Amino acid sequence: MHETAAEATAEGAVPENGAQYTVVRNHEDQYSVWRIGQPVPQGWQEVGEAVSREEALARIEEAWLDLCPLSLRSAR
Amino acid sequence: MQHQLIHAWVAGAAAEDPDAVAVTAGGTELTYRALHADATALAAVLRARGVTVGSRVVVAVPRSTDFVVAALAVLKAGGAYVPIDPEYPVQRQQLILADSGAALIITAGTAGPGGYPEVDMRTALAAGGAPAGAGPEPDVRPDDLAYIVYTSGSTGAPKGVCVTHAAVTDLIGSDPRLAVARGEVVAHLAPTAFDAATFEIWSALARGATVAALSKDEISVAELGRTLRAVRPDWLFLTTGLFHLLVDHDVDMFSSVGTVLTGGDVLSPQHVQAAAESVKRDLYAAYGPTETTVFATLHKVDPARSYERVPIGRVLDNKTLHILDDQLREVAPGEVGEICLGGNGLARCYHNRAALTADRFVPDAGSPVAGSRLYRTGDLGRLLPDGEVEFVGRTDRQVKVRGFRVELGEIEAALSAHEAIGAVAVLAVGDDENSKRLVAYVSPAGRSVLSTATLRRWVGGALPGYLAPSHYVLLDTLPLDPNGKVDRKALPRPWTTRADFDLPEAVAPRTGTERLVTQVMADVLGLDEVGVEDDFYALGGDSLRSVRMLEHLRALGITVSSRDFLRRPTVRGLTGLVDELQPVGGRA
Repeated sequence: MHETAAEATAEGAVPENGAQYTVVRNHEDQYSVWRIGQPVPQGWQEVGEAVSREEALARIEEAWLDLCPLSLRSAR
Repeated sequence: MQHQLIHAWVAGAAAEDPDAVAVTAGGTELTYRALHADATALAAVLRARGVTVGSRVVVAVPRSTDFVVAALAVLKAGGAYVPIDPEYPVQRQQLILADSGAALIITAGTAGPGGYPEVDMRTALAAGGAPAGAGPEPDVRPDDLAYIVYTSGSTGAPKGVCVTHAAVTDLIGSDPRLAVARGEVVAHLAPTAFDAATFEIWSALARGATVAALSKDEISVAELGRTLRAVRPDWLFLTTGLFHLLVDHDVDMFSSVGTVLTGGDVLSPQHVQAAAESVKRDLYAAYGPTETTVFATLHKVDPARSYERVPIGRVLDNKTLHILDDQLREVAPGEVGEICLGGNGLARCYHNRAALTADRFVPDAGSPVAGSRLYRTGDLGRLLPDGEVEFVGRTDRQVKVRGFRVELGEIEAALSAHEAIGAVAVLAVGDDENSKRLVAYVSPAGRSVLSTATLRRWVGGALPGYLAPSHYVLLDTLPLDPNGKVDRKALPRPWTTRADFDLPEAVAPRTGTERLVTQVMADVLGLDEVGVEDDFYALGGDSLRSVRMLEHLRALGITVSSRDFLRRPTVRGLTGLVDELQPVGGRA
């Protein structure tokens, strides 16, 4: 219904001092980032080592090439 | 629901009552039978041109029966439609065409932006008959995309929000508060490129109701009021800006409408109460980002309740809402945090933007469904004791002024609680943190008269000092963007002090009348100080402001004609007239 501020943090690259993140992936081959030290939610797996948030997002940009969920890709 | 495909729902409604009216626009009417036939024929044309599951098709058709036919045809062909306003600048159209990787562009009697395979739907439908090469029916799944809506980010290029069939059928089929009934009329007023159109079109067509597409030429409030009285919609969505305007100028119109939904910006309590008294059924304050498919929360306005702020209410059935801190942990009840949305209706992604998608769609730790995601809205909210949610502002509208963290939305909410205020926008103006000032742009409700002094007192009683705007600009109306929200970029730059003008030293008022008129002129011009010899027009006055000033004076018992004012546009000139014509010694 309305536009959100989504891009501000993603592309404004606000550094978060010392905060460490890992790339996480779920069963649908969807990616996100997760702060280390907190239990990874059920159904998500860590991929690779802890890096900065910006680095984690940069790696996702490289790795996540098909944004279509895996189950839908497999159905065809 | 046995199926979760938008076009399957529409086909079901068409089969139940083919002669019911599906879409009206101005004088034209399309029955379900005709809609189904046209969309099926156009879908065959699209498929023959290569459209299939996974294709994106730009629909460059304004709000009309044509748009509905085109969008339905794209869905039937298996594709996702990408609505663009053909009046967008060509550069913007090209950008969306390129970014969406569109297979094709559909137009209706107008030229497209060029450079892309184009189908003029009117020509295609006039040719009639299914072309050869359309192939078998596409195998569309609920998780396939239905549309991509482009929203402008706060920085950089617009981004395409990819929404699935399942998200839309969930919106129109789950929450009883949004259950459109067969035979009802749903007003279609949103620009097609705005996701509120999703609700307006598909919630009607899925249920056998009628979409009443209002002409895009109905720009004035008076015309819109007339049209709505004639159409008498059972459902009407209005953006906050337009809602406030209609309440101010034509509140009786709401008695012609069944259910009104309004949202998109901070709502004024007076306005929602006034409309709630008038509306035939219910008035809802609505909230929802495009990324979770139109509406996420609704609050039913209680006309008997006295609101200080209008809450955004409770989350829709099948969706979840959490208020989280910056580490995605639940904040304490009542604390301000980021509104995060989960459950059904989440967009699949931002088109071709993996990192941006991963940043905003994060693992949902609170969900019992393994691997599910949560959308971080970038909006701030808090949970109220009664379980409803209050919208506080946007994370990106948080500024620092003189070292204080200031939430502009909070100031706007406090101001809009004043009964004489129609619309408000607060900006932080200035180059750096120390020279930044808070400026409030305010327009009156109806015929109310506003003064800076009143507003200052009001804010002083509601907010801590560091949140008080240092400057007020009183405008007749606030500029709106095409989506009906306050266009903050179009607000005039405030002249805060008389010293900004290169003028001789101000001559101070002497008499009571002079002091009174000086104060009114300063208010209307939004200046700290006005001298009695200062020319109104040299201080940034214009005809609109002169009208407002004369109205203010009239409200104070001082009547001056605009012709007389034009001849002598200074405080001294005015008071000279006043003293000649109508001594107001009692006020001195």
